[in-house]
Parts: sequence; C-alpha cells; structure tokens
Amino acid sequence: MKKFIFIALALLIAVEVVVLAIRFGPSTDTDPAPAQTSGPAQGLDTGPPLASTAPTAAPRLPAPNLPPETKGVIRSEFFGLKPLALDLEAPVFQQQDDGRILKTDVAEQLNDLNDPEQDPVQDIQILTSAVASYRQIFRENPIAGENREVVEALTGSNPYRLMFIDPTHPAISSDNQLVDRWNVPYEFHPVSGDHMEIRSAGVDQQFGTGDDIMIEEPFEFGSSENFDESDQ
Amino acid sequence: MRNKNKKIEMSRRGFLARSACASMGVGGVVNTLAHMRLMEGALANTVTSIGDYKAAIVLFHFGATDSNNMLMPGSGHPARSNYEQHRGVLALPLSSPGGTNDPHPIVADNLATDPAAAAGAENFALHPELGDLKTMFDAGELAFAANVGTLVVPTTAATYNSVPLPPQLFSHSDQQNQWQSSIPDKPFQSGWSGRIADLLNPAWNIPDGKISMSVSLSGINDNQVSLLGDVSQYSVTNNGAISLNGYGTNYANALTDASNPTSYIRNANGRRLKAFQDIMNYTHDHLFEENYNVVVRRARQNEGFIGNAFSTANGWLHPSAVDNNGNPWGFIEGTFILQNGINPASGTALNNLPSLSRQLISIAKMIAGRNSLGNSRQLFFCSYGGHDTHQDQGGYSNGAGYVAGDLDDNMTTLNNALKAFNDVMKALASEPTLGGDFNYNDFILASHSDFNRTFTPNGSNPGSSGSDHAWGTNVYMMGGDVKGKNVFGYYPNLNPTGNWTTPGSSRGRWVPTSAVEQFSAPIAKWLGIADTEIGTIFPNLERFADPFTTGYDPSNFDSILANANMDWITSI
Repeated sequence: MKKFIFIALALLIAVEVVVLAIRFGPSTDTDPAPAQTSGPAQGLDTGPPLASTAPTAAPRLPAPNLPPETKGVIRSEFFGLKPLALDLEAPVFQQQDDGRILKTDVAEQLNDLNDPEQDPVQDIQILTSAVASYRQIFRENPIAGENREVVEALTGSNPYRLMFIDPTHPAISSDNQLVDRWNVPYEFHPVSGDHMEIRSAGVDQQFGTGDDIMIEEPFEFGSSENFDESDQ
Repeated sequence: MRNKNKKIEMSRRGFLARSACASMGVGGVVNTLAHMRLMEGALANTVTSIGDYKAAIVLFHFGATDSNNMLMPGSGHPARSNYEQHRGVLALPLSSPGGTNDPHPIVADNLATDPAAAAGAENFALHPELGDLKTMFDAGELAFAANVGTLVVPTTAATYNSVPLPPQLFSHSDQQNQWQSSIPDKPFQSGWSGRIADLLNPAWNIPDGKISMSVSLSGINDNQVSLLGDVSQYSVTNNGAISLNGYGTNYANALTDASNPTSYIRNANGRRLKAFQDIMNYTHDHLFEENYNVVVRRARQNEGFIGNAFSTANGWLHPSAVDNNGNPWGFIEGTFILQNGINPASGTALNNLPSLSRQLISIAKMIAGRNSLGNSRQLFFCSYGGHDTHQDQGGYSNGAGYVAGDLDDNMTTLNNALKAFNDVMKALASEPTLGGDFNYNDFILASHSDFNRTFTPNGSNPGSSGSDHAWGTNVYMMGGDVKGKNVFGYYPNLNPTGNWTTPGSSRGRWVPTSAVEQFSAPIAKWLGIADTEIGTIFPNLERFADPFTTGYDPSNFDSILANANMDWITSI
C-alpha cells in the first residue's frame, strides 16, 4: 500500500514539474501564433463560407520583422487568453507582400465606410464590427488611447499581423487616423477591454454637441455607475 | 481503534490549510501560491493589541481626473515652460487679467530641501477651484503623490515596448479594477483593502466589532473584495444603512422604535415585518437557504448598529447652521452645508449637497459614532464620478480668457467636500463627548483615479475641448499622519514627446514612476500590517523599489525607479 502511495505521489510531482516547466519555462517560440489549429478557420460571423470545415494545420506565421514599436502585444495573455487559432490559408485571409495578412471580409465591409449614400450611423456600425472582429480573434479590444493606435492595431500591428482595413483606405488620413465623412477623426473611447465606444463629431465637426453620432451600447463590465456622469 | 463514523471537527487553521490544498489546481498554480501566502499571513498574524482607532478612506475619482491641472507646475518649476508650450487651451495661466481664476501656488517642503531636486522643482500650483486644499496643504494636512499608476514591473518610456504592461491600458474599467486590486497581471480576485481586512480584522475588530471592517459608500467595489471571504463589504447609502423596502423611513410604519427591531406596531406592516423577521430567523439544512437568511439577518443587525452610530453623531449639533424650522443641523451636515455655500435654512439643503459631500458625511458619522460600531480598524470606500472630460473640460485662451468647464465644477465639489470633512475630523478630535480618544491623526484619506488624462488637448477651443485617456496620475493624501506640504514621487517634465511619455504618442501620457502598490503600501503599514506581511497584501511590491527609500539621481530613470520617494505617512 505504501509503495502504491509513493508511486502515486511521484507521478503527481512529475506532472506538476512538467506543468510548471511549461508554465514558467523560457519560451522558444519566436512568434505568438499557435502552431496548429484544432478547428475550422475563424473569420467574422459575416464572412463568406469557408472552403473546408475539416481541421487543418495552420501554417506558422512569419516571424515578425516589424520595428519594436509596431509589434502587437496581447496583454490578455496574462489571463491565459491566447488569440484564436486561425487557418491562414482560408480564403478569408489574403497574404500581402510585406508579410501582413488582410482579413478580406472585414476589409470589404469597411469599403463602405463614409459612403455618402448610406446613413452615417452605419459608419459607426461598420467600425464597431471591425473592432469586434479584432476582439473576437485577440480576445480584447485594441490597446488604444488614441485613434491612431486603433488604426495601427487594425492595419497589422498585432501578433498575427492581421489587417482588418486596407491602409490605403480613404478614411485613413495622412496622420494615420480614421476620419469620418466630414474629415474629423473618430473618437475611440475604451470603456473596457470588451467595450469600445466610437463617436463621430457629426455635421458640425464639433464633439460634445447634439449631432454627435454614436451607438449606445449597454455597458456590461464592472459597475456602470463608475461612469455615471450625473453622480455629482 | 479509529472510529470511521466519528465526526471530525475542523479547526479554522485546518480549514484554511485544506482549502488551500483543494484549490491547488494545475491551472491556478500561481494564484494558489499567492492564496497560500495570504493564508499563511492570516495564520501567522499575532497582533493582539486593541483599543486605538484608525480609519482609512479610499476616494476613487471614477472617469479619470485631469490631474495635470489639479497639480500643475508653478512659477519657476522646470516643467512650467513645457506646460505653457504644450498644454494648449487647457493651460491655465498663473495669473490672468482680473486674477479671479488664478491657480493657487504651493511649495513642497520636501523638494525645497532636497539637494537632488532641480531648482524650482518645489513650486507647484493647484487648480483655481482648490483654494481650500492649498490652505490644507500649507497647514501640513495634505500632500500629493506625483505620477502614480498601474504597473506590472518598473517601466520607463525606454522599456515600454519590451516589458509586460498592465492589460488594457487606457480602458476605464480595467484600470479602475487594477488600481483597486494592485495586481494588474492576474485575473481579479481581491482588492488591496480587502486583503488588508483579511489580515487585520481578526486581530483588531473581533470580538468587539459589530459591522464589517469594509464599508462602502459607493456600492459594491473591487477595492474591498476580500480574498478569504471573511470580510464582506457592507454598503451604506448617503442616508445611512439600506433598509428593507415597504416599511417607511426608518421602519416608521412598522416599528414604534427604529432602534428596537421587535417594537412592532399592531398593523399590517408591523405584522408583515414580524413574519418576515421570524422566517429569516429559521435555520435551514440547505446551505444556500441558510446563507440567504444569514445575509438578511446580518443586514438587519448592521442596520441597527449603523443607525445607532448615526444617531450618536446626529446629537452633535452645529452652533450656527439652523434649518427652516429653527432647529440646529447636526454638526457634520451643517459643516458640509455651509462649506458648499448652501443656505442651511433651505428645506432641501441636504439634498442639494453633491454626492461626494453626502458620502463623506456618512463616513464622518460612522467615525464619530465609532463606539457603536466597535471596530478599531475601519476601511471606507467612496467615489466621485464624472471626470471623463473628453469635452468641455474648461480652459483658457487669450481671446476667450478663462472658460470654466466640467473640471472646474469637479474641483469645486472636491474642494468643498475635502475641506468640510477635514474640518469635521479636526473638530471631532476636540469634541468632548464624541471625540473621546479620537485624534486628528486617526484617519487617512487617499485618492485613486482610473488614470491621468492626456497632457495635450483634443481641440483648440477653450470651451469645448477636453483631454483623453492617459496613464500616470497625481493623487492626494489627507490626514494628521500624512506628511503634509510635500509632493512625493516624481513629477514629469511635461514634454509630451519626451522620455516620460509612452513612445509613439505625442499626447503626453506619462509612464508612471511609482506603482499603485508603492503608493498604497504605506496605508497598509499605517493600519498595522507588519513589514513581513506587506508582501502578502501587495504581492507585486517586491518587483518595485521599497516605497520608503529616497535619494535619487534626477537625471537617471533607473535611479528614480530605485528610490520610490513614497514615504508619505509619519510614524510608520
């Protein structure tokens, strides 16, 4: 009996050592992409149907060769939330010459951004959808306090070097900001890792006025009263 | 021979040890280790003294205050030129035509006498609406800590892209959560106040304490979440304890005496309340049912104790504030009403007070009535929202002059609330009956904020412009044991593209030079946490410099990070 207990304890310790080594040991990966995927390619819900739904091995992503300041960093990895595994050979992903990968379904949606034929509210909806697509893959919103940082995240400054919007899109200004149809940069307001408010200044091109355009979303994280402007 | 059927009584020590082992799952090794450290601390905590009273108050500025204009560089400060050059319409001149909205100059003694500080580094100015805070600062009752923020490891602009950063920088709720937990690199489990309560409550508040050590005036908060679950947050409203609905104010429709829970009136409400309380006194085999009843019973008991504390405090009358019936206000309410410039004779005087003042009134009453509550160590959490000034912050231009905005309103509210609270605390210390052994240095109030706001404005119109989300911020501390008239930490050089700001941004987002735990650790120590247990409360603190060191080289960030300059509480 004692022998059995000893063996069981030894096995348990061995398992713990292996787990700890994996958890804390030095990483030999040079890029954060998963080596393989266990499921079908992950695209936007609105994306085109995938050619194959059978589990396929995803190619290893090219090692990032961007300058350090443009490397994407996924803070959520602290919490064990790895980016989704992607099949980058699926039609929805289009490899670019510079190593970035265009997510075509989102990019096609964004082609309609600032289209004068459509309601400006749809612009906000399209952008919200693009940010949601980013969040779906990277498990959190772009880490961005500024419009420019959102643009960087959506144009390839992320661990997969995914582009959700074509960098030459006319809505991206020369100073790398997403601007509305009145040429005023959108306001991206990070409420939480899951909730990014997006606002256009509207026709008068002034924020904080009655014609501002935004989508009211219910705030689900934390205490909503934390932002209650009327709590005076 | 062992009787297999014998019921084994589990001691508290045994329970803690077993729960630690049970939670030793593979996925949670790191958290469990932290958990075990905390429990070891709880078991090893041998503090037995009781009798002296200390209350720590966390005031959270939800929405993120623009502390660049709360504490700004004054005349001759080396960062003043950057302030005037880069702050745009948010830059407030030290003097302007008419002089009615001039910032209030203050001089930080610690920097004036520090040979390493640059010439003029001691000269600051407070927002024009913070006149009373200047008085408190000059009197040594208030201090500031500069450029504090959430950090995973010591970080500079040079290492920003190579070290782990707090998750979701610039996001309101994430940064609020991380300020309150002080463990940004782990999924949220507990707040730093909650962990202090875990350790101190058994030694300081049991058996005499009648309510929770952690009282919130701002609903459920992260800061007071206990790790062990032994100290539940107790929420109190601006009007006192939360009563059961349907029985009138203070149970006037059901009880003849609100302080006597069995003085039922012979009417439908009285019978209904009696029936409800009888049902809540049943015991149940089912754990959920039993715990539900326990929570309700505890709430009713707490309500009585809070009510007694408030009643005691209400007996302290103000000498000059009289309501519309000619009756004197309680001293605490009266002080806040007068400070806020509200006519005490107005029938709605109390209701016209800002939420922050009303929260601090309740805290002051619980401190004044502390003997009814029985705790020797008390933690309060209150909050002040509405600081997310992306627009209409208020500013200045040569053409428009001074344009007051939302920040001015917020600073006015803050100034009045802190001044009145400070006055009440000082008065309480000399009040013969309620004061007792209370001293002015028995409380400390410290502020938190999601983050600072961008240094550069987001527009060029002083009326409509505002500021956006940034990082390291300036906070304040108030109380008799605060080393007042000082500015701790390190004030940025305010160059929005320099080596104090996040790379790639030209907005001025200061990389914190002090972590939240370095700022908060002195509070824990002041409350009674031993040096050997500080790491249990702030498990990441060991990554940072000892908060109590100083002697930095101002030209060297490594030296700055190695000398926290956060020794802001006396006698610890």
